Amino acid sequence: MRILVCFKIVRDLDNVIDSDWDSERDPSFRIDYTRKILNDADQGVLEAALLISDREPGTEITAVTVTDDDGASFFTGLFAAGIGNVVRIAPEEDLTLRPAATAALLAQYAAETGPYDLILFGAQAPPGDSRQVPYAAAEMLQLPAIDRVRELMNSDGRITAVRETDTSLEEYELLAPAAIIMENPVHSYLRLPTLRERMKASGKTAELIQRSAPALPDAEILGFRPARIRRDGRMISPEEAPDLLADILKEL
Amino acid sequence: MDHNYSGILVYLQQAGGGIFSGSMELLAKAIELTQEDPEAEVYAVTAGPLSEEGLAKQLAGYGIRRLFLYSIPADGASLHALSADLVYDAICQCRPAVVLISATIEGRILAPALGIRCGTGVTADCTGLRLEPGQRLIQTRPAFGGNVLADIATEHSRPQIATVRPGIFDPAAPHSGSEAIPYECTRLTAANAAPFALLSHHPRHPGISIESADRIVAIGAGVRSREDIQLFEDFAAQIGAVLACSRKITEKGWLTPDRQIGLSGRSVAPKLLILCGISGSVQFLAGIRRASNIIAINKDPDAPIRAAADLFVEGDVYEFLPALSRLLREE
Repeated sequence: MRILVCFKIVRDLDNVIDSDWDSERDPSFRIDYTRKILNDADQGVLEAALLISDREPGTEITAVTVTDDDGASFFTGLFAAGIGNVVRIAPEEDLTLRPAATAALLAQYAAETGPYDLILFGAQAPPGDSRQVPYAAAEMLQLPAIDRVRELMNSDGRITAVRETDTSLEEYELLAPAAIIMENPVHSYLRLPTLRERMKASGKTAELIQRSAPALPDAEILGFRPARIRRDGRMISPEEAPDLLADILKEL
Repeated sequence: MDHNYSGILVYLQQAGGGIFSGSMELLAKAIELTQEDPEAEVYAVTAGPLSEEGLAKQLAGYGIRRLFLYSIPADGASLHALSADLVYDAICQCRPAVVLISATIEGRILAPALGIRCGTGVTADCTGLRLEPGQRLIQTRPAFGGNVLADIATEHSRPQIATVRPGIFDPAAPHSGSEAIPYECTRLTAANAAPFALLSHHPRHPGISIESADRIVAIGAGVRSREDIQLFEDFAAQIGAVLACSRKITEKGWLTPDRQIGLSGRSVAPKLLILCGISGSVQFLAGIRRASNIIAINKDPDAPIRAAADLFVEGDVYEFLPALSRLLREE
């Protein structure tokens, strides 16, 4: 089986200085001083691919990301965890809040190097959290897509997906090829490699592909403006709080 | 760019035997946006099992120029697979300058697929819309965890497609004395079956709608065990609130995703929001900005949630809530 996992390295927005959110900015708004992390939503997706591989030895996993950041430390971690091939597509333009262009680069790579049995995505990623990339890429590749997948299971050549909606839990049998969008995965964190696995992976490097995003009509950013609503954050003691809250509850 | 596009097409999602409220909000917005431009008409498209006669009557008086109705049996998986085809068909027929879709689970799947088929841009999760001369749509959406607002336009292609979060606009109200709207109905079977075979379906208790709750008690990583959730459930019930949570809780499987607040969950707007043991990550805060009164209880005085709350109680929720509960019972 061949699996392609699309992942993203993102900036940790929790570490942005408060005042940096409060000024008017042009579309080149950047927060380069914050640390980089593996997108939360993608950790479980990578782990899901590895679990499939655990159950079906010989599964080939490629992890691909679109980024102009050199994520060497992350890539070593992915190799160490058991990902066979890591690819970094470095776009020539800034793709911030351009999900169609990002999807196009991923779809282009998948089409060139496929076919893949499964293409896995996390549901969303900052800074846009628009949830568009997986569906746009699936549309471009003309792949059936299934979303809100919490778990993937495989045995005897069959792949099943557990999908959770607000009102039901569903199990589907998947026919390859398919695009899978995972959300709240059961195994939400990528496995931690051992020191030996890290040392073994230390010599591996991600394949770098530099290319320009296909010319696609896309929504364009006109500008950013502050959105944060500051509140007083008045501190009250635990002793006075019950009476105060009881009064508030009566009023509301 | 082809300038032969005009008007606004609203996707009316069918849910619960009727039209989803978020779609009616978009209908109202479309009518408002087109009022200044006599050449801009409002169209609607819907697909599902609702009867055509019932829909045409229900939507009479809303100023819809034309309704594209695709009648299809109630089978969520088939509809999911078909909806992009159907809406694209409607777009080809009426050539709208703007397409509005509610940012539901279904809408978030539909819009990007439509964008690719139409060769146009999509702006997701808009919280503001403005129509400028020439039917140029300025779309406003939160970005960077909701800490900034981005103003966006689709300059070089049509239609301009936007999904809008439910609860942002007021729903449409019908005018009096309007005739039934013209519509065309296409009946489909479920022949284009879902691409995946459904092996099992386990319905769950209908989800709690935290988006419409007036009072919410939300729990986070400060809750020590699944069993402890009962303490917060009881407190919520005592004050007539709904229990919600941060992603940390749904990740553990302690509560279902329909109770999750945040970027990957729901956006809430209660009159009162009590946050118990929640640190206040960017992703969580994005879901509570419209709450009227926020009270946070946390052991850490430096927790980010403090700046986002109206009142902050530095304390242990396990001691504080029982004390508050006792006081409320005494009163």
